[in-house]
Amino acid sequence: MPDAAATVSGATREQDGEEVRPTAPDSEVGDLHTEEMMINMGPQHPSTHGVLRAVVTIDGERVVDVDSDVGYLHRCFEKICEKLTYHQIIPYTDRTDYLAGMTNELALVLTVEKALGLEVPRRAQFIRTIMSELQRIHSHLLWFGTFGLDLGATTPFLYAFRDRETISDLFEEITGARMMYNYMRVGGVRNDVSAAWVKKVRTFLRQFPAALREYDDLLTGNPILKARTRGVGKINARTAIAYGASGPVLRASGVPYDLRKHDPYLVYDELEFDVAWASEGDVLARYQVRLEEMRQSLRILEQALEGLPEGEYLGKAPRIIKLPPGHYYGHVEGPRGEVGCYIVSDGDRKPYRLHWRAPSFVHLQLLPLMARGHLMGDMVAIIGSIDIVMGEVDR
Amino acid sequence: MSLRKISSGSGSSQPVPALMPARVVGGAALAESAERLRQELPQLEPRIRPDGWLEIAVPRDSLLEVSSILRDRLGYDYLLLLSAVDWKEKGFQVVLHLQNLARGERLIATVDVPREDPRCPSVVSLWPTANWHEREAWDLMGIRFDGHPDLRRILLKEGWQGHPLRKDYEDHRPPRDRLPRPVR
Repeated sequence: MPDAAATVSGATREQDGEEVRPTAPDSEVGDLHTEEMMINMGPQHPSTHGVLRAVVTIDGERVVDVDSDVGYLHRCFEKICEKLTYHQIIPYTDRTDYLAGMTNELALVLTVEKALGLEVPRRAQFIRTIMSELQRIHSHLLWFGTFGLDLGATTPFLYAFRDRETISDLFEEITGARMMYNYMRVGGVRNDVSAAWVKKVRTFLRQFPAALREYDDLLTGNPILKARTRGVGKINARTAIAYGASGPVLRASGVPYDLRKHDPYLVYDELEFDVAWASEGDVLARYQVRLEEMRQSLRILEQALEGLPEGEYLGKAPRIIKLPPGHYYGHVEGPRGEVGCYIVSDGDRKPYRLHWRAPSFVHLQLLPLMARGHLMGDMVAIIGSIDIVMGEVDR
Repeated sequence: MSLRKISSGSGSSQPVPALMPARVVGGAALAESAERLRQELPQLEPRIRPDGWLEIAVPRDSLLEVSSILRDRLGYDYLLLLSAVDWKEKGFQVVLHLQNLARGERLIATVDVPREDPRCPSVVSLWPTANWHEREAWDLMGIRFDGHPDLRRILLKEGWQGHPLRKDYEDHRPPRDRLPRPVR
């Protein structure tokens, strides 16, 4: 990684052209000379959610510029994929955004299925929908807990993990794993869900609204939360679009764009749900949009469980998958935003090139815009509100 | 479409979205959007792909010109993805995935970049989100983006030799010492 002095790109830094050093206490009282100062946040800092190193230029307590240094978790995911068959890539996608394995796998298998023109059995489509929405709640719960921690509220974390645990168990029962599922298959899913499991999901659906009310009591109504989030990290709709934001970040800025509605996949166009959006574009709006998304996911889950048909869970798919030469782009609405998979094929069993559109990678570019002019302490709230996963940024 | 507006009670919130995105187009509407594209950019031949995307091949020298027409006159305001492909002796290809949110039109623009001169105009001035995508393409594929405000490596460390996503990339690092497996 480059050293701190070489990475800062703020205009103010270049203008003065001299080394920035911390302000030394002046001997003469009255001559309060201030200078900009650079401080390192991360890579090992609990609020940077992984290994993000933010080089923050501050003027007093105010943030002037932020330069994100990423790549600590880089493992050349895209190069590795060029050496693997499509089936072998599926478990790798779990590891990009390790908090939303289901939707990542889905982005890959949907792209491959679209390229092959493959029909997927209806039961498999419903199971995929159920898993995607459980994953959304699962991921939002982790975000909710850690966001509270970032702001100094420790208790909501414990509550969120209590409920997240239920979903982890549900996943474990069907896929055998709590994080790295390797569950989606080209043509369907790996294992069928049992009636007993469906019953457990229904129990969760009955209990979870009460938990959501608890969260509201614990955190949403809290005056400290409001004071620390309202008007902080504002992004307007134009900026959000220009910076390619998607998911809750875009929706909280007044653009109700949701791939589940605007480019429906699976069975989403048969299900009723609302797109949660807000127009403020601040940290509070992103917080509220995510909470509302969990409620909407519950609605989707209820309908999907109701409509779950009998039948095959894994359709017929070629044993050796060769995509016709050409390039294909597929995307799904992940918990963090648009997860995109761009595959270039030359007709071989392995992709010629695979590019992953990671929503966190795109959103992290907004960090300097959100943080400029705010207090250093607000940086923590802002990073928390973007909901980044560094595994996906660095790939 | 059903929307649920969340208000944090500040009072100043607008009742309508700043922008109402449209569902992605297909069928006859797709031919119409191809026609609009043809009118604005007669020198390019838009292709209608079966998956609902339009595709154009943009000459490298006119990328900025074409891009500003795409954004300002045709409304492609949303850059989803900028990636690069190594086609070995046929050179590189820079691929832009664009979307017109208000109309639901989607477009792939490809730019051929010769191998011996891997340069491409930067589109950061039009779509700021291209900043990190271009830095990534420079880092991993070794394509120089002219006019990029801050073209540094992003994922690999400074001083890394070569660009790993190139097909002719060779890893020159010495092999790592592996400790022998402990005998039980």
